[in-house]
Amino acid sequence: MFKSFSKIVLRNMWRYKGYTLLNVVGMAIGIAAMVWGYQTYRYSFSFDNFHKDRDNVYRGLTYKEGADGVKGVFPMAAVKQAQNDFSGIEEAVRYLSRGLNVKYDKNEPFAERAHFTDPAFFELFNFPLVAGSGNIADKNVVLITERTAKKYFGNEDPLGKPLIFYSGDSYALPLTVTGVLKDVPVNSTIQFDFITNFENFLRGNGSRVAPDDWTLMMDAAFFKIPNPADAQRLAKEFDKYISVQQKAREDWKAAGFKLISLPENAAMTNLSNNNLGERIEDSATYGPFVLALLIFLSACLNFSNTSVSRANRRLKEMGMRKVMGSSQRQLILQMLLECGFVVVLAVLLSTLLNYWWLPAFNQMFNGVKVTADYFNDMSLLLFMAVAVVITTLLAGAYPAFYISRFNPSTIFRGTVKFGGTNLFSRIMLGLQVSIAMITVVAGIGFARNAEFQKNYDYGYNIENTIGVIVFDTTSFPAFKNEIAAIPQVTALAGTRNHIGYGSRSVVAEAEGKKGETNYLEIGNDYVKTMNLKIAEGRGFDTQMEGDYDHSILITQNLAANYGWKDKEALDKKIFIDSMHYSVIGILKDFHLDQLFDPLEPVVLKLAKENRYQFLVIQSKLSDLETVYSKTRDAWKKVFPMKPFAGFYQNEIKAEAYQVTKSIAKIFTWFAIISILLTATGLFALVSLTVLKKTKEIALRKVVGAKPRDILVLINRGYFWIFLLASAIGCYGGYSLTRLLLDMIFGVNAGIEVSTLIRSAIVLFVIAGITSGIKVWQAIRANPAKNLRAE
Amino acid sequence: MLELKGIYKWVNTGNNRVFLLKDVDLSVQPGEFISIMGPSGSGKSTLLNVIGMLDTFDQGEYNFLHEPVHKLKEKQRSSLYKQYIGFVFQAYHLIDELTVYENIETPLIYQDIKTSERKAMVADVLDRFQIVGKKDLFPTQLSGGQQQLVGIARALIARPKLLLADEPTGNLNSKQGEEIMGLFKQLNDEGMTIIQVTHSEKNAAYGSRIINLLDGMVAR
Ligand SMILES: Nc1ncnc2c1ncn2[C@@H]1O[C@H](COP(=O)(O)OP(=O)(O)OP(=O)(O)O)[C@@H](O)[C@H]1O
Ligand SMILES: [Mg+2]
Repeated sequence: MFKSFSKIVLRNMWRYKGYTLLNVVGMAIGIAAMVWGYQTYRYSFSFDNFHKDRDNVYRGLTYKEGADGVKGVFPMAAVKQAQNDFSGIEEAVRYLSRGLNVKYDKNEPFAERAHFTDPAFFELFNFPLVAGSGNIADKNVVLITERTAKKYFGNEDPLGKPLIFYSGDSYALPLTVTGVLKDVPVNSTIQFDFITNFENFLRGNGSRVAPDDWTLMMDAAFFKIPNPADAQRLAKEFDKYISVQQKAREDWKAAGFKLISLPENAAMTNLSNNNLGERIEDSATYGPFVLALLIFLSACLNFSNTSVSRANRRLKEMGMRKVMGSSQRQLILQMLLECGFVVVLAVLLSTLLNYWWLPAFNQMFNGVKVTADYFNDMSLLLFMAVAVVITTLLAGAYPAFYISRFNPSTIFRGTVKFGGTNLFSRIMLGLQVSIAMITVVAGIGFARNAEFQKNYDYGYNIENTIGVIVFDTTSFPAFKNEIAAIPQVTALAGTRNHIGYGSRSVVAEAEGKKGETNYLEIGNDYVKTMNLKIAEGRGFDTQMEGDYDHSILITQNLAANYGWKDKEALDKKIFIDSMHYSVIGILKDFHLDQLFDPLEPVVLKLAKENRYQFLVIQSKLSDLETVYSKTRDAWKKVFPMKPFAGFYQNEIKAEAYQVTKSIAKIFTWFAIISILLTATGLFALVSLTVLKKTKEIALRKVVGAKPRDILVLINRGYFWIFLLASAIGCYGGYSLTRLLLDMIFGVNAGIEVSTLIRSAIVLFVIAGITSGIKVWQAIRANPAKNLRAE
Repeated sequence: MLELKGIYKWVNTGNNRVFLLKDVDLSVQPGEFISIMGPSGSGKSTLLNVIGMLDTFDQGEYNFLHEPVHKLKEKQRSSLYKQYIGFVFQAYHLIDELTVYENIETPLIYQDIKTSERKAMVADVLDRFQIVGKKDLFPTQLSGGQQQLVGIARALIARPKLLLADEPTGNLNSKQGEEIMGLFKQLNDEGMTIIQVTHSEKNAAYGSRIINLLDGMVAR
């Protein structure tokens, strides 16, 4: 029986190559998309899943007084003390990083981030060793990852090689590479390239850290707690440290602590003050899944629709089989088998599609590495198997049950009211239209957002500015003089903090209201160089000694937070870090970070030159590249030992722009696919209508119907469903795109009516062309011939 | 062989009940060759389909080989039908995607007959109808007469007791028609019970009895 079925199936598939190809390709795209969505989802929740003891390892978090939510940092002294003070902690591990220059022998130095931790780190976490020893108890050693070994030593054996870690004149640390670790997986919240003993950590001025230093905050503190029931109690007991911590850090007062297990840590997103990595965001976790589901549904609907509309031809065979003794069950089985064939082919094709698509997707976004190991991943295989079954049922069940239920005498009498144009098919078409609409709206919406972000006014001079990170405050003046001598430079300023390159978050209190705000310490020409606009009051004046200590500039956004309008804010007192400042000027709002973050309030304070860490340089746009290379030359002259860390300010735009552009690209592709699917579905239905109405059309033409009447006659059944589905799709596309935009970008273009109108036009034009072709044929057909054929 | 008693079949159109069959009584003995005649639309096909269990009826009794068909479940009816009845159509109704050989073989597949046995049975029939040379062709590659031959071969392959034919020569020219009727005669001589629907007196003459239908009723 199976053999006979298979024969028919294959012959049918071959005879209708066009349809088969269309269905296989459509399904393949749907299934590939599903695998992509599923793997992306799994990837997102795979973070840190490779640590054996993950359920017993906890991360310490700190509540900050006056601030919302919990913070990722943890006071250093508390880590080791807690292990002694309280029961239930088996290990306590400090983990901290800092930027350092690293140099091997006479080679070019690199600016790197080195990590410092306690030896027990490797007992808590699973970062496998490739060569050498994994012990960092010895303070003279450093462990590096494979890719770092490659970067510094090429093909030489890294073991035993010396590396110098240095910063300024006060800090130089020669360490020996004694172990090479496997590269840290992308789905790890703990990321490092160099890791060494915690004792090697030195402050900026080269001083060591005392073990009971309460001022220093860890990137992360880890505790091994064998009995998870202890975690909550311990977090409470940590409260004992609040007073001593607060005394040490007036500017950053702890208000409490929290312990979360590694899996909880891995599941978190948007933890503030978090110096570890995070899983990919919810939008990126669920977005692909939803999108994939839509495409998949559309492909299934298409398959279903084309099968039903073609079923007219199959009907005779079904009747015949019944006459020959087939039961309905066997017929259903046969139809599902046919469908299964297509699905299996589609699955095979989908693996090829993903072979190309997953890497392309990974390239579009940072920190995403979605893969599909079709041969070894049991969950994936199971998922695929379930997908085959569900797809077969979803796409094949309706035609199978529908076609098989007629009794042969009805079929042979030829009076079967045949489907394709019935309500069910039309609803399915409607669904496809809605899905297509959603993807089109999203595609156009994100493309518009990309445009919007490209032209977004950040509120400062983002295009003709370059910056250099100069950690060495002592040599700052020499370097600055070199740059000032470059003729094309139109303005320059040193600064402690710089827009887009990290700022401190502080709690600011005024008129009884507390709130978090960003805090920039800037140099005296910074406002001018960056083209920040003063709305009210004045800028900093170095002649006024008080400006260094008591004056601040605030943004309009911050003023609004306190309910101050226009000039009202001037001379107001704001309490920050246990100090009172008075507002001397109000700046127009500017965007402090990438467009992922919303516009946030900013406080600016004047810093003395000995605190400068950045030099920002302005020139005409046409001179910018020249200035950049001259700056690098100057750097080489002044700091021959240090890697050059310069940047174009507009690089800030790049990531958000790339993300929105990538999403736009994905949606555009999916929009094209879902439109094609919808168009073929529509074409199949219109063809069937024309087929069914051949005689009627011919008769009407004979009695003088105009082409318009024929058009109406054929499309009457679809028009309203199309309109309704488009409206639903518009709304769905609007909501989905808005949701995604808001999830991803703090600042975005939103969705305009014009986007919806454009999407509708795209869809209607394509639908018009699709059904138009068929209608045109019908109108042109010779009525006499069609009547004769009946 | 079979017995119809007071068979009614109707369809409701709006408030009207249209009778397709009205109080039909018929009894058929094994080995009979019956021709059903009547004007177009008189219900001949309907009656044949009811006899062949391809269609249901609304009232009356139908006993087939002492089984009360009107009381049987769909499944039992279908197995009865599978085993004892072969059907031949005016329009042949072969499956276009299957070869001659495969078309003839299909009913056996539905009866779960083993491959080796199937081969023998199909070879037998092909031989008998002298279409061995055509066995790998598809229906569309055959003439009407040849297609009908295949249709008959297929109806007979499972060795039914009753052969039903709805205008089997309707689409054929007279020479082809005569051949088919000759074949029927021969089958009947070998003991096969046959009921055919025909418009042709000449074809009816091959049979042993004629039943005239008029407006769904047997004319007496
Ligand atoms: N299920 C049904 N619903 C409605 N009308 C039906 C149905 N089945 C048959 N008819 C009608 O009943 C009448 C008898 O049909 P049937 O096919 O039995 O006629 P026939 O005697 O075989 O005619 P012909 O010689 O043209 O083949 C016809 O008018 C047909 O249209
Ligand atoms: Mg008839």
